[in-house]
Amino acid sequence: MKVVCPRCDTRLLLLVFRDVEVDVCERCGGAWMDTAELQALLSRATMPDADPLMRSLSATAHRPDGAVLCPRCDAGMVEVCAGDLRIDRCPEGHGVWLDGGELDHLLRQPVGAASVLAEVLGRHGAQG
Amino acid sequence: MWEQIRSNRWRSNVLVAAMAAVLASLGYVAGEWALGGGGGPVGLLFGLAVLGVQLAVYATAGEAIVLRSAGARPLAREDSPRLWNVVEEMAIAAGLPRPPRVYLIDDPAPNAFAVGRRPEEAAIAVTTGLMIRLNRDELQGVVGHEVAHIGNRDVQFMTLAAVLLGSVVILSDVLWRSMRYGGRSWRRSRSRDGTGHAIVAVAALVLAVLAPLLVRILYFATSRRREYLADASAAQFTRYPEGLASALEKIAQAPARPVAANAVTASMFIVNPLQAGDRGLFATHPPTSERIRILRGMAGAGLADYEAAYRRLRGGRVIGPRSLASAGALRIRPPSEEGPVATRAQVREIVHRLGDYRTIRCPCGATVSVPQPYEREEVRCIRCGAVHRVVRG
Repeated sequence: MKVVCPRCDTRLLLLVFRDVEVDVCERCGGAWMDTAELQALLSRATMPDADPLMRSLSATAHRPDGAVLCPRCDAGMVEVCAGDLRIDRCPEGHGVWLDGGELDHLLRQPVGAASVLAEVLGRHGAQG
Repeated sequence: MWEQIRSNRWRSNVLVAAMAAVLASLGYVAGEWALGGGGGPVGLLFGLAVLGVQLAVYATAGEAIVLRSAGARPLAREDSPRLWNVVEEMAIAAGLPRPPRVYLIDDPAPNAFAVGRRPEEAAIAVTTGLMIRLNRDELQGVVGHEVAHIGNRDVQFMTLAAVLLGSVVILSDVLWRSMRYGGRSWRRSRSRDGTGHAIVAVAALVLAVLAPLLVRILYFATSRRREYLADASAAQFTRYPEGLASALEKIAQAPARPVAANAVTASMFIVNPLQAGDRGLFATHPPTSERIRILRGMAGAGLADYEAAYRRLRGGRVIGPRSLASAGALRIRPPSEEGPVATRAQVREIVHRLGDYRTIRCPCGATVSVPQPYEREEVRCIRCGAVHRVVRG
């Protein structure tokens, strides 16, 4: 299964760190996480209930006709808001897409799953 | 299962005959509409030609097409000796002439299906999700179920039906289009030889609506009983009904539906990924909960035990008398201690090998997998920024 960036159409690099897998686009900095990966990530987070990433899985879509297509099944992804985070979620439950800007924004407030993700992506503390 | 093999042969013939009738009449009507009066025979020939092409495709590349449309890639023995071992065990238990080839689908949802026109050239495809989530007993149950489909010639009938179903859908599409955008208007057809053309028009309408529906009903209604039979055989081959029962439970509870499922391949999976409701004419599979209940109601692992559990829970009969007579009594074996045949990391490695990735281990502790072909000679580690050379494969 070749996972392709839903924005740039280039194939994503796959980063694995301590058994967490994130597919990252070199060009736009966006990241794709399979549902199974996201669950593995959340299982390491300290306070899963308040976690914006966790809430994004159950949040209702505010834009149900996303222009971004799921890299796994090509379904139009729905855009959800969790806190001040906006992510694209596959309606079939395959995973979530965070584009570069959203990812930076998320990693600037490292709590819960985001702090684990920050460690996986090697971004410690605030980055510009 | 003698009765099942015979009935599959018979069904395949009936299906081809029914399809020929449907396609010929569809073609005839489409021809009358699209080409005007007298165009019927041309359309009829076209309809039969479509069937001929479909049968030729089926005969030469049936399983290759199904496997490709599901995104399956061949898995070598050295990739996963333990999975191969399970497949071979089950093939021997089922008395197949040779073990089926093994394919892997990179998909987190656990599922599996089998394809093949003859037992000698069959293949079993499993998803990565299945390999990771199921322990050995459960995997054996699923593989046993698929191997039973191969032995009973179910997969032959399914592959044929899948190919034929596609052709009817294409033709009724053509018919609809010609009725809406081309052909002759109602008024003209009524003014000349009115009744005949009106009949054709009504027939066209009926066919266009009913043909795909009829084919589907035929195709689906015949496929439910064989799921029970394959479950019964799997219990017999593994001598451990609980393995398949808990595998079905895990598969049914999985969140995402397989990426590879489409209208044609859906009914081939062990649990139909596109089946929303559990009952009705279009259900290709019996309700999973019912399949689990019957397996768990078995007193032993023999066919007679399955028949007894089936009769108690659903009523009626499922296994043919000849098969029951030739099957011996079997006791349920104790469960094995073995976990999944592969860890997540191992499956990931296999997928990357099959999917043409070059994996680079960075001193910072991360591994970066680079898709091939890669346009540059160097890649930066996403995590620490260290530059690595990408060896071209």
